[in-house]
Amino acid sequence: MIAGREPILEIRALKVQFPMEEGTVTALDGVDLIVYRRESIGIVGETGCGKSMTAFSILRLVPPPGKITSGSIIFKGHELTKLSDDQMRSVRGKMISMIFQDPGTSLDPVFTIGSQLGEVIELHQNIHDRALLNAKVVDMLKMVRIAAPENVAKQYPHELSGGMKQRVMIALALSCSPDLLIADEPTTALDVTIQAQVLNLLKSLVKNFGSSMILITHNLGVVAETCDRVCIMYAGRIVEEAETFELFRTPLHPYTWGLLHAFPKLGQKKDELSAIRGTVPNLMKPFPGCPFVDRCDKSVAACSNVRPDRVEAAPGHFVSCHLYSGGGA
Amino acid sequence: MEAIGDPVPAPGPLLDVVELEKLFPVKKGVIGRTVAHVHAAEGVSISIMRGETLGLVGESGCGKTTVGRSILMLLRPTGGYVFFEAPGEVVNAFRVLLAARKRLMARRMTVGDAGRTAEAMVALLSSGSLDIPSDKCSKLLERAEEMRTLASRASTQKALDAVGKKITWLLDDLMGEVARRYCINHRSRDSLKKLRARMQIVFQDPYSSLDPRHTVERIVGEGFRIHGPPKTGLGERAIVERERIHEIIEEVGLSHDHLSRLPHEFSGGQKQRIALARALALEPDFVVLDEPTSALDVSVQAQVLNLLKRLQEKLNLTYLFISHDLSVVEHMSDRIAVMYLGKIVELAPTDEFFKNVTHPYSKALVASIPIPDPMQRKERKGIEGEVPSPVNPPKGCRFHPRCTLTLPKCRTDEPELVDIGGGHMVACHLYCGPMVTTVSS
Repeated sequence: MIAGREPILEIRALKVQFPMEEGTVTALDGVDLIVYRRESIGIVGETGCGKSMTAFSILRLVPPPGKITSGSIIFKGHELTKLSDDQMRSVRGKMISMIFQDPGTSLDPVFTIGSQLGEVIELHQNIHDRALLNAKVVDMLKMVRIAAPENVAKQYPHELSGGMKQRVMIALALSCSPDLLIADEPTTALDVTIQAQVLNLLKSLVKNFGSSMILITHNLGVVAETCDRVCIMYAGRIVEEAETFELFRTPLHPYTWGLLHAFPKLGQKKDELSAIRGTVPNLMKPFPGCPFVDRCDKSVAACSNVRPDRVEAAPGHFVSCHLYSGGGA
Repeated sequence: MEAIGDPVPAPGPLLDVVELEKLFPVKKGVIGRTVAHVHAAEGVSISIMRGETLGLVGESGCGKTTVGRSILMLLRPTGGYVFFEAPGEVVNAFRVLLAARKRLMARRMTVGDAGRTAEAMVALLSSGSLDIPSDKCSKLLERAEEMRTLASRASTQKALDAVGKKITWLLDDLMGEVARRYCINHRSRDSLKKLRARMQIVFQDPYSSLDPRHTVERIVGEGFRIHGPPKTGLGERAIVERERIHEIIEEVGLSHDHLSRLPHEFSGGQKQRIALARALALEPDFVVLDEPTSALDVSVQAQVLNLLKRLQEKLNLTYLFISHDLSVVEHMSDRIAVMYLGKIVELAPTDEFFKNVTHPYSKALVASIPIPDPMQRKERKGIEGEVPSPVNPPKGCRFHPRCTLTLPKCRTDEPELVDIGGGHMVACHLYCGPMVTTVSS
C-alpha cells in the first residue's frame, strides 16, 4: 500500500483453482494487487501465467470448473467475492468494464453496432427514449474517433475492420464511465500502426473519464509507453511490482531481467538474444518454493523449497525472490 | 558428422524474383464468374544472396506470406519469374529484355532502343552462358541478328513499328525459352520436384502445421518418403534415414526420446523446433520462415531466434524471414524489404534502413513501434485511415491516400523502386526524379 493514495481495488492472497480429472491446476496462487484511483497499471507475463485469469476473477467470470478458492477482492469497500450474482451484474459494465483481446469475437455478429452500444446504455443508465439513446450512441462513437458515426451505428460487426471493432469495444466499455477499466491484450490482434492509435485513444479517454486501468499484455513496449506501474506475473504469482520507470531501470527479479533482455530492441542489434532457458512449468504440480527456480541462473538452496516472501526492496518496488528477502529489505 | 550444405558457397544471388505477381480471383454467382481480383502481390522483385537473411515486413494483408509461398510454388504465381540458382549474367540480361519488352508494349521505343535490344539478344545468345538446346539457340540467334540489321535500317516510324512487333515476338520466344530452363514457376512438375527438396518452409502456427496423428520421427522423416533417402551415409535406407533424423533432431535442441511422441505432447517452442527439423532434414539451401515466432512467448521466441541464427551459420542456409515485427526482423536480417498492399516500397541493408528510413510508410511503421523503455516514451501517431482493399488498390502510389507528403504525381503515377545509394531502394516520388534535391535539403 502506498501512503497518501486512495486504492480503488485491493486483491489479497487470491487463489483460483481448476479441479481437473488429472489433478488441480492452480491458475492463481496468492495474488496481491492494489490498484489506485486514476492510475494505469500493467500486468505483464507470458501465456498461462494467470494475467487474464486475474481479470476474470475481478469480474467473477472465472470459467468453470475454475473457482476462487480463497482470498478477497475489495472494490470501493465492497467484497466482490461475496456479492450475489444480481449485485455482481450491476458492477460489471457500470463500475468495472473490460475490453477483450479479440475484437472479432467479442461483438455479437447479428446485431448492429448501434443496438449493441444502445443496450449497454439502456441497461446501466436507465434511458429508454429511442432518440436520446441514438444520440448517446453517436456521441460514444464520436468519442472513440470513428468517422461517420451515424453510418457505423447502422452497420454490423463484419463490416468493420479490426481497428474499428476495437474502437467500438472501447466505446462499449467506457459508455458508463466505469471506475475501473480492464483491457486484456487490447491491441494484440491489431497491426502496429493501428495499435498506436488505439493505445493513444485508451490513454486519453481513461484520463478524461478519471478511471483507473488495468492493462494486460505480453508486450513490454506497450506497458513501457502506457502504464504508471507494472506487475510482472509468472506461474500464477506476481513476482515483481514497481513504478514503470523504476522497473525498467532496475529490474530485480531474475525473470523480469530475463524478459527484458529476451526482447529484441529496435536500434540495438546484437548477435544473440539472452533467452530464458527451459519452458514455463506445469501448473498442475504445486511449487513449495519459487516457480522460476528451474529456469533461474541465480537460484540458491532456499529457492526450491521455501516460498519467497513479497518484500519491498525499494519504496514502492516489491519483489518475491530469495535474493532480496535475506537482509536487504 | 560432416556439416551439411555447400562447403564453398558460390557468390551471388541464390534466388532472383523478377516482377512476381499473384492475383486471386474473386468469384461471384452460381457459375463462379470471376468478377475481380485480389492484388495480393504485384511487381515484386527481390534477389536473395546465398547465406543471407532477407527480412520481409509489412502489416497483415500486405501480401508478404503470398510472396513467400509463391516463391516456393506453394501458390502458383500468376505472373513474373522466379530464378533459382540461375547464372547472374542470364538474370541480368533477362531483366534488360523484360524492360525492353515493357517499352515496346507502351510504344515508347526509339530506333536506338530497338537496335540495343536486338544487340542484347545477340549477345546473350552467342555468349554461351545460356543452357538451352543448341538448335533452338542457333535459330533464335539467327532471328536476333536479322532484327539487328532490320532495326538499323528502320528510318520511319512505320518501319520502326513493324520491327518492334517482330522484336516483341522474338523477345517472347527467347524469354519463354529462358524461363522454361531457369524459372521454377515455368518448369514442368517433374523437374520442380527435385528443387522442392532444396527449398523448405516453416509456418507460423506450429499447432496446425504438424499432423497430430504422426510421431515426430514420421513428421521429420516425411521428406524422405517423397525425395528418397538422404544423400550422405551408406547402408540400408531405413538406417540412413534414422541416422539423419537423429542428427537433425539433436541439431534443433531436442533429444532422441522425443521421436516417438506425438505433437500434442510438446510446447509451442518445441513444436516450432520440430517444424524446423522437418524443414532441414532434406538439407535445403533456402528456407522461408513465415512468422516462425509470432505464436511464441517472448522468452521462447528468443530461444528459437538464436537457434535459427546458429543453424544458418552452421549449415550456410539462406533465409527469407517474413514477419510483422520490425524488432525481430532487425535482429535476424541482413537486408529488409518493406511491403505495403502487394508492393515492395523500400528495400535496404538493415543498418542502412534504420539509419535512414526513407519511405513515408516505413517511417510511420518504425515510429509506431512501442519501445520497451519508458525513457523513450513519446506520442506515437500510427497511420490515419484504413488499408485500402487489395481488390481495388488506389491508382498511382498505393500509399497516397494515407500519406502526409502527397505530391500531385502520387495520385496518378506509380513510383518505381529506385536505388538512392548504397543499395537502398525506395519506391516513392519524393526520392526519385528532380525532387531529390529539395527533399534532402
